[in-house]
Amino acid sequence: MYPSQLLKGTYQTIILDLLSKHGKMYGYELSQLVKECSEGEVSLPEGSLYPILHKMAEEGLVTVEKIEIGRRVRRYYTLTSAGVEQAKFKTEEFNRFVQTMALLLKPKLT
Amino acid sequence: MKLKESQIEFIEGDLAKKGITNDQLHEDLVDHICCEVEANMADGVVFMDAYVKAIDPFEKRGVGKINLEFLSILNTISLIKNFFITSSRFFVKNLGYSLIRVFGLAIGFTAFVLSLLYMKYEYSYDSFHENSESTYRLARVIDRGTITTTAFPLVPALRNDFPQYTFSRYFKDRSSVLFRRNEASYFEEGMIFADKDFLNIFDFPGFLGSSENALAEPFSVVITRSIADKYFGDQPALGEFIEFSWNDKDYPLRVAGIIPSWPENMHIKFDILVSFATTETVFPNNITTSWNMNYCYSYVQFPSAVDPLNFKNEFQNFIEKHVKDDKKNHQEYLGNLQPLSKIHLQPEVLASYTNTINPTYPQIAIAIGFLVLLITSINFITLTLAQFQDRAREVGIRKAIGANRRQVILQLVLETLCLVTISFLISGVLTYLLFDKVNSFMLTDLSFAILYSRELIFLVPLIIIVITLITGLYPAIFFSSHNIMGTINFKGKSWKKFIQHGLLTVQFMIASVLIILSLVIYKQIDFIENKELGYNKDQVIYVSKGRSIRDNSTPFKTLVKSNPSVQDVSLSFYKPTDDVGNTIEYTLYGESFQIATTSVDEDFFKTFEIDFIEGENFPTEEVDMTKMIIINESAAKLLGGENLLGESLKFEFSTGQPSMPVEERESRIIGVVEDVHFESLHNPIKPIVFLVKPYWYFYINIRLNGQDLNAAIDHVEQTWKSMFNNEPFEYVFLDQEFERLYQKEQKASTGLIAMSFLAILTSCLGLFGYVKYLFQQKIKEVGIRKVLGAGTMNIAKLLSKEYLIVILISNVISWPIGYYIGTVWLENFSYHTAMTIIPFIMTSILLLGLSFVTISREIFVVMSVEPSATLRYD
Repeated sequence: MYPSQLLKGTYQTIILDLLSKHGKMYGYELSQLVKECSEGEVSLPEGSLYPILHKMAEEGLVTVEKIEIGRRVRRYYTLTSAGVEQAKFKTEEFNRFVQTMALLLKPKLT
Repeated sequence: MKLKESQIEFIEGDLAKKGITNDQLHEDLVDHICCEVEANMADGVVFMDAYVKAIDPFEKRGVGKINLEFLSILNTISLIKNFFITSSRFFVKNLGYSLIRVFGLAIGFTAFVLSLLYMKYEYSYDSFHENSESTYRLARVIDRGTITTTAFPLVPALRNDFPQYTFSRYFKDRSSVLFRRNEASYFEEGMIFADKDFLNIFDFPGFLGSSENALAEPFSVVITRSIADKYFGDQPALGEFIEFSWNDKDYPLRVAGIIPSWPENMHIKFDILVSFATTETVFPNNITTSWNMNYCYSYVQFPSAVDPLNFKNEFQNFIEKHVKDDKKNHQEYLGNLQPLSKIHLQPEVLASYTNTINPTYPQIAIAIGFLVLLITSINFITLTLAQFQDRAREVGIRKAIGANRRQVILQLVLETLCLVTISFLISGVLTYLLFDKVNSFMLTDLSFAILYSRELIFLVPLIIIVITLITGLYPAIFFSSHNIMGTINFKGKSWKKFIQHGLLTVQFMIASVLIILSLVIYKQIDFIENKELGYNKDQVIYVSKGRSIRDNSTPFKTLVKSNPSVQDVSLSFYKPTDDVGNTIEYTLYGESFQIATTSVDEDFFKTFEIDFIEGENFPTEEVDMTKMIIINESAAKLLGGENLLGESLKFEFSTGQPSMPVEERESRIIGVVEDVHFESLHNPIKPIVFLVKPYWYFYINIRLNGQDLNAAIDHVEQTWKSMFNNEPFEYVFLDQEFERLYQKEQKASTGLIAMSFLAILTSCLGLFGYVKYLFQQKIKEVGIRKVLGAGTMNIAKLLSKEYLIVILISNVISWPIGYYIGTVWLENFSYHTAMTIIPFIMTSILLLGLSFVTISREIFVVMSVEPSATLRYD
């Protein structure tokens, strides 16, 4: 597991990317999927997940759809077109960041 | 494996208990945890353990904290909703303070709104007529200034020469006129002769009849609804007849129109308009054709696009064409136009025949209203700051969970906006409740109708927003500042303390100025009421019926005096309290003097107990009185001082008498009387000549003995009725009339005292809040001092020093301001009390005393706290 300081800035990017690949998803599904894809190395902290989703909703990146499942209400999140754009931008930005970091931290050949 | 309903219910309840208040978050978390629990239970864990395991990651960050973080990114509407909940909780928790804040501000608003209404009312005079902006009153210009009386032939001549404009005139006789219909018979004061276009220039809403023609025919009359009710009861009046008596002859008048109600804020105020054409029959010709008898009020209305200056430029040619007079300037016949809307606000215009007001009065009223609002606003701020320890905790929590400064400011300002709006609504109710009171003591006829104006729609929100910013912004910035705990002790923040003290100083300064002025006005009114006038105004009644007995007054006078309860009876042209406006040019040794002149009989000086300096009274025996005059001291000074007895003055004057329009006299000065305050104390004593001209007798002045006033008046009334065929008898006490002279000052002082009271009240409330807040910070200091052995006096001194200095400083600042305004106001009076230091000292003592009472309770509270209770934490 990576320390959370390292991951903090990437949560939104991860969520955006997953939503752009899988379409409509709900919170628990997202957190499980992250764990699965990263083979347990990354986990979305539950305490941050929902505030982030909510912030994205406020910013118009996602829309929310409520579906009743028995007694419970499940809130599904879908990217808006702005969200799709943002997802693309964020993943590209992150890829550039990784390359830059790799370049920066490349072990020196002595 | 699916969860049971009861298990889901448990999760829902537990999350709510743990502090999830937001519905959306609650839904999300319930679903999330249920999924997790189901997954865990699928691995064989029992429900409770599965739940604990599922919620654990949330507990790591704190469930409540997640909720707050969630709230902090709410959208604006839900944000406001959330603010509102927090604010209303705070409001209820501090109910006492909150109510003081809201009601205090409501008082300020009420004061402001009422003064605004009053100002609007005074400025609303004559503005409701359809073409009021293009209507002017014609005026003459004489050496004393603009005078609005004009000659009878002026309007007919103008009508002839300027058919493109509308002209009208009215004539008002000074006496009251007897009207009769069947049994109903009354003397009416409010009767005028109004010319045919009168109703076309002055339109009345809801007029009954044809306003075009109602006053065109001779012997037609337009009356108000109240007059119609008085004479016709519930029978229809329109088209019916009513009789009036003019120069001892009765004429029937046809009612050609009814005015539903005469607006109070119109400069002309009458009940009965008789058509001007009637005067052609009832007046002698030489009055209605004379250019020298200025008894009419004339008006002109232009089509809206006309520049009145064009008309004014024609005056000279016009007058030269119609009046053959080389001696007088044309302006003395027609020289000025007074805009209709200015009539009420130009007291300097002579013979205005309407109630006028100095335009600074409504301005002062609005200024005072604003100051009271300012005081209450400062109060609001001070009390907000006083609640600050509780507030700091709340704001601290908000900031700890990540609310930024902008949000905190926004919340506090929004909260203020709510409170200010509530205050404003309360003040609306208060204003409504106080309406009648204000109307009766300010002698106004305010109605909410004045409020229905377009500017007010913008004004109300503007006031609310401005007051919100004034009262909300500073505390908001203060509370939201970065280191809230640091601010509690003001460490290194002396400017905040400065503002704090500054606010209090301003507040007390305003209160102090208002109190000083109330005291000065009160003193002046007292001065007026007790000033030696030089004559005796007590127990004198007057009857405005001198004309009935002017030709032979002896029978009435003898009969009235036969009763011992009547001391003296006399006749005169003017009564004391009147302005002696009739001026005649006198010549002495070829030098001419303009001197105010009244006509009196030989009993006048005795009736009013006016003393002679030298010479003697008019003789009682039958001699030619036209050869004698009496002058007052000032006239003697004007004429050159000493040895005037026996000197003869030559003069020529218009009499208004049909049989002798102009009279020439040469009269000997037979006596000099003391200067008395015949007119209001606003005016300096004028030189006055007293002569005998029975045609001018207008008032019958009767001095009663004072033993039994009712019996005396009864006797006079019986005498009157027996002599005059049961004519109604109406009288007024002179001292009532005297009070009326100073009504404006009475009004001003009542209003100001009420406002000062509010100012003191709210200032003390503010001080209370401020002191509470100040002392909260001193509790520990007091504790330490007590532990170290400081005495009670010592501590009281420590606590009161700071605020005492503030009040003293505000007092000192207020002194020159109060002195300046007070002096300017007193200069309105030719005779006024001196500015002494007493009102200033009294104000200081009053404010210091009241503030001491206000804070002493708080001092007691602080001192009674055990040091152990406050010092324990450190």
